Amino acid sequence: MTMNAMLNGKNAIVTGANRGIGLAVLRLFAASGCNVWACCRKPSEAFTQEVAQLQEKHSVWIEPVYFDLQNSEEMKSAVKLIREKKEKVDILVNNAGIEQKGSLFQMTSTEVFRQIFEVNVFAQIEFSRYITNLMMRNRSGSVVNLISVAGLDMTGGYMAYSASKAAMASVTKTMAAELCSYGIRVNGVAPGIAQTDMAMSLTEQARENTKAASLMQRIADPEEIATVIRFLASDDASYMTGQIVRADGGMA
Amino acid sequence: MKMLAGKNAVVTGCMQGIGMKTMEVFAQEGANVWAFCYQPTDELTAKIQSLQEECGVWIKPLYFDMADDEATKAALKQVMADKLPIDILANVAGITHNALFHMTSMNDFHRVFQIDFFAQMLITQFITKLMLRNRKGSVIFISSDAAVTGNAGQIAYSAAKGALISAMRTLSAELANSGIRVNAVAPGVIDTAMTQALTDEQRDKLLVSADIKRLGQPEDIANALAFLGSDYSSYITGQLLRVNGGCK
Ligand SMILES: NC(=O)c1ccc[n+]([C@@H]2O[C@H](COP(=O)([O-])OP(=O)(O)OC[C@H]3O[C@@H](n4cnc5c(N)ncnc54)[C@H](OP(=O)(O)O)[C@@H]3O)[C@@H](O)[C@H]2O)c1
Repeated sequence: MTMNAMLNGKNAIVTGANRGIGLAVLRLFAASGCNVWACCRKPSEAFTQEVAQLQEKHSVWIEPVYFDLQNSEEMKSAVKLIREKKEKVDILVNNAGIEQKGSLFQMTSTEVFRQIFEVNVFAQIEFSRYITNLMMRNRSGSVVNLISVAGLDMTGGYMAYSASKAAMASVTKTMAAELCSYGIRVNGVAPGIAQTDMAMSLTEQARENTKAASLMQRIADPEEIATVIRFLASDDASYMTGQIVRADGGMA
Repeated sequence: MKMLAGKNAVVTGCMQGIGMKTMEVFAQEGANVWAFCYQPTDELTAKIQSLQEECGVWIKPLYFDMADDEATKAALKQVMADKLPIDILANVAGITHNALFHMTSMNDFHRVFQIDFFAQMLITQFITKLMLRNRKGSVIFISSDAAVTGNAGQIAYSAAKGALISAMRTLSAELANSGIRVNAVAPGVIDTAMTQALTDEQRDKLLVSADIKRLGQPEDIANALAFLGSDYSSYITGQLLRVNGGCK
């Protein structure tokens, strides 16, 4: 199978597709022959153009789906829209997420905890429940969750974010165990640090520390995370489930 | 574009099973291959012939016994003599030994470690020295689930495969700033001659812990090796990729 046709004829749902890693995934998937429901919060001129260009260039369909992960009603309408297309859903990439302003455990209010978990955990589970329900009918599917090395290695300063990602690592494994008999694989990618708005919002110090902790001593391009997501989403990884793959430039 | 277009790869253990499948997938993805094998077989020769024609790549078989360091060195010198850049080393060759701890002689330990560890170090030393010249490359070892979770009745094998994980991590640290990535794949129970040596009972027991209720196929591992060998894993080093159908 050549890489560019790696997802030929498949249909994927990608959340947070308008920027950062999600946008890199959208571009790579389209270039790999995959149709995409591109989920993001709000329409924008730039995104509409991007979608039009990708569709034309790669002869795939890309359907923007607008909803806020924090809004259950919007999410339900989004799922309805996806269902009404009457196309098989092969892949779900749970990419959208939020980070936390760096603060120590003692300084992190429960409010902040709740907000981070709302988006990074509860909304992911809720959305996955709807979508894997569709996948179950076809008895096949592949889910890729965005974890983070922050959720696997314990470092100080971003506790709410790290804990939310650790929870998702656990969710990934449980989902894998429960959904396997329906032919659905569930895996996670744990990036180190990738050049996106999110990484830029970290303190300079935190960014430098993460970079210094990696053998490669550099920050990843979002594309380098997207290619790992594509591998796990594809049939090339058909015997992998419940795994968290670290793309971290060599940290642990 | 093919995943490994224009790359040159060394694959060990090409005589059968995962190694042969890896050679096949690499060739199909556009890589030229030095295929290390124990000895020629009609099946292998025919396979190499047809892959070369079908994929437009070259495949050079080199026959030697990894138990013999001198023979291994001679084969490596032949690779060196080709004076070509080497992009990928897939250390696939390995042997298993099924016996309980108290039934495993020191001789058995030495025999298993020779193939599953020492010979791999020797080959990797040679090949990474060549990779250093180009300041890039990808080295992949095959460890095993047995090394991670332990497996009663496979002490020598699981210990050697555990040593490989540790060597992989050290090597990834030593070679990262030379542009060489080092990773390993840990297969679960794969349907090859090696697992056919297990009793039905042993095999069934192993499958109980897998979520995906089937034996892995050589292709499952070969695809993972192709991914780790390719530039699509350019930010991955020092990792153990478990391809095991979801065993814990
Ligand atoms: N970059 C890294 O270094 C890194 C490292 C480890 C893990 N990750 C993980 O990778 C994923 C993507 O990160 P990134 O760096 O690409 O982040 P990013 O550039 O900040 O983009 C985040 C995306 O998530 C969307 N999003 C956030 N909250 C949302 C909500 N309530 N509803 C719907 N969409 C929402 C954003 O939409 P808007 O544009 O509308 O805000 C945006 O598309 C995240 O899960 C992150 O935790 C990233």
